[in-house]
Amino acid sequence: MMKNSNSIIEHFHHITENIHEYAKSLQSKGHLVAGYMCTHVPEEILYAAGIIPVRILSSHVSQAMTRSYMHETYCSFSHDCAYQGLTHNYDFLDLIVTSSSCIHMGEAFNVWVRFAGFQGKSFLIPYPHIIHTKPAVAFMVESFAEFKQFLEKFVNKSITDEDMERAIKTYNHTRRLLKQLWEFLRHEDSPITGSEVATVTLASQFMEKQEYNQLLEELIQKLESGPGHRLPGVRLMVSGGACDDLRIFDLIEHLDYSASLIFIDSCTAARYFWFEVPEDRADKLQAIAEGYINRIPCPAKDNVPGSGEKKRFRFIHQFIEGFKPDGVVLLYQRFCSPQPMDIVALKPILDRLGIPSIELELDTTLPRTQFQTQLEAFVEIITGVAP
Amino acid sequence: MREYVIINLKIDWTKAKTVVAGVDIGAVSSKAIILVDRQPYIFSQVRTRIPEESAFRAINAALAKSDLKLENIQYIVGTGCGRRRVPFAHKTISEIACGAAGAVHIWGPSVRTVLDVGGQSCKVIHCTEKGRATAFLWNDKCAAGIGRSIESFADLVKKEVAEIGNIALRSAKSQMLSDFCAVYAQSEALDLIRSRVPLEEVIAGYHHAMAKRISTLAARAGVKKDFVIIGGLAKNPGIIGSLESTLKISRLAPKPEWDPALVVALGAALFADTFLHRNSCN
Repeated sequence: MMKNSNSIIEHFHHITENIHEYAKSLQSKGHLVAGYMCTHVPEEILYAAGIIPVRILSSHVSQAMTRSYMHETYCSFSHDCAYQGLTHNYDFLDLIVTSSSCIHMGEAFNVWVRFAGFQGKSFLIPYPHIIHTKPAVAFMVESFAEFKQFLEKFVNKSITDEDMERAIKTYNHTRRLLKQLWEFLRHEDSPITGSEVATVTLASQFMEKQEYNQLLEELIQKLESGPGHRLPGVRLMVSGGACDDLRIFDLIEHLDYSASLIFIDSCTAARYFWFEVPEDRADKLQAIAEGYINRIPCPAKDNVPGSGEKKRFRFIHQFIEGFKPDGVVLLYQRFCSPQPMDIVALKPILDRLGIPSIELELDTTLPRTQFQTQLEAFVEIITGVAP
Repeated sequence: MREYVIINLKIDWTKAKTVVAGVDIGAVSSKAIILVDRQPYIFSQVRTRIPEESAFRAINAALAKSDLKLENIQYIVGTGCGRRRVPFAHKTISEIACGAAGAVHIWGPSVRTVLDVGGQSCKVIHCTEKGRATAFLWNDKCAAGIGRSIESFADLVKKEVAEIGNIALRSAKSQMLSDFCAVYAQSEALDLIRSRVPLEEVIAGYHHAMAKRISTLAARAGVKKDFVIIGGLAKNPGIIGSLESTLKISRLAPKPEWDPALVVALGAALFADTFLHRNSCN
């Protein structure tokens, strides 16, 4: 039992900064560890097979060497993840998995398989390109079944429905706890800041879920019993692509003006957990497919055939109503295509809602001064600073 | 970048109610403006090195022309990318807000779009008639279309930065160069020069390419009339000519009494004046 909420948050923060050390510690306890490159990978199936899924994240160091393996105009996150393989930072992994969701991350996966020694220990899960169609569930069930068979061979044991049910329940428990944590940010007197919530959420993506759930329950209990402290100033929401660079969230809360981060719509934050897998279905793979289809869609998959509607925008609208941001920071990886393409359609919606927005383009490194200026200018616009 | 100081000797600061200053620490140059009863009294521009040192150099260069002392300045606002490193500033305001405020003060309340083409960044700012910024778009991480790329190109073709814009404007023909990347464009330019293509055509081509790059940012943000251009590159007729023809919109004519590179510093000084009044009212 830890002393207070700060020490638990610090513990999560320490793990986010020492991912490899943490993952290796799981192996030393006898667990198999699989790296996954996209949140479309159904972690529940890995977990049911007794394998701990650990998300492969970037290192935020210059990775010019990947240019010999991947096209220059693939996003910086995918280059950075490919770099992790080429520099053998994750050689300890027993397996790597991804889904055919994003072309750039798919190429990073290929680099690992072809050049980083993961040829015999990798699996690519075919994922439907358009998820908002009737055949999508059946497609996913078939893909997940193949993945399950592969894992059964890999661990040399069958994965029972009970294993699947336990895994689904464990993961849903994590999702409910995370939602509970994020709910604090709806209120002005939240006992936790947005950047702390982002840290705790990032840790969930590579921690063993039972251990994580226990710690998160403890944190929520302490936060509920402790005093709230007013989230100061302008309330900012972030919406965009994968961002594991926690410094950007910290920067938002440490501007020369008072500002608070109150929501992050990204696959490294809310989109990772803001859904549940139905627990009452007899067919567990069908349940997982339904759960993943009903999550907040990734812009790479979000297109309703015929109308071109983006279902993610419904969620964004819902989050804006619930968390009441004064402005939205549209944050995306350099050379990402789906995220900036979504912005073209999203901006008029934000304008109609009267929510100002700015765009920040992420790269491997964080241009602190430039981002700080843009964020401060944004706060000045929101607060109506004029001479 | 030329270092200079200009003083308006008709102003007697000792009789003034307010003396305020704006200090803009940009990536290439640092500027200081002292306003006396909201009238421009002294301007200075120096090259930026270490921001703190450049802030002192800019303000000291201005003060050296007068018997005014730093302690006589009642309120100072720092702006620009080095704004947090102006040791004597009372407050900081972003260059976005200052750019809008300065532009509306100079060109009047009809201004709705300010294009700020600086040494290391390029921004499109929308504003109200009162000079309040309402939205902005910043260039992506690329040197194309910013002051540094023109400086390095001038170095490549062995011309002065101040003269290459006029050379571009004079050329009847222009070569097609990459507008995607300043480095690619310069290597293409070098190829053309070595192939004995007339230098002025290459210079015109480079200016056109950089202007096209800037115009994509302006087009994305949307250009509403009236439109003004500020920042160091606003003094380059080659870029501005190409930009206006690409955007199919003319800027408001430059004001001869104002260096467009000083507009952001002016905005900071106007903010300083406002804050001084607010403080005295409180």
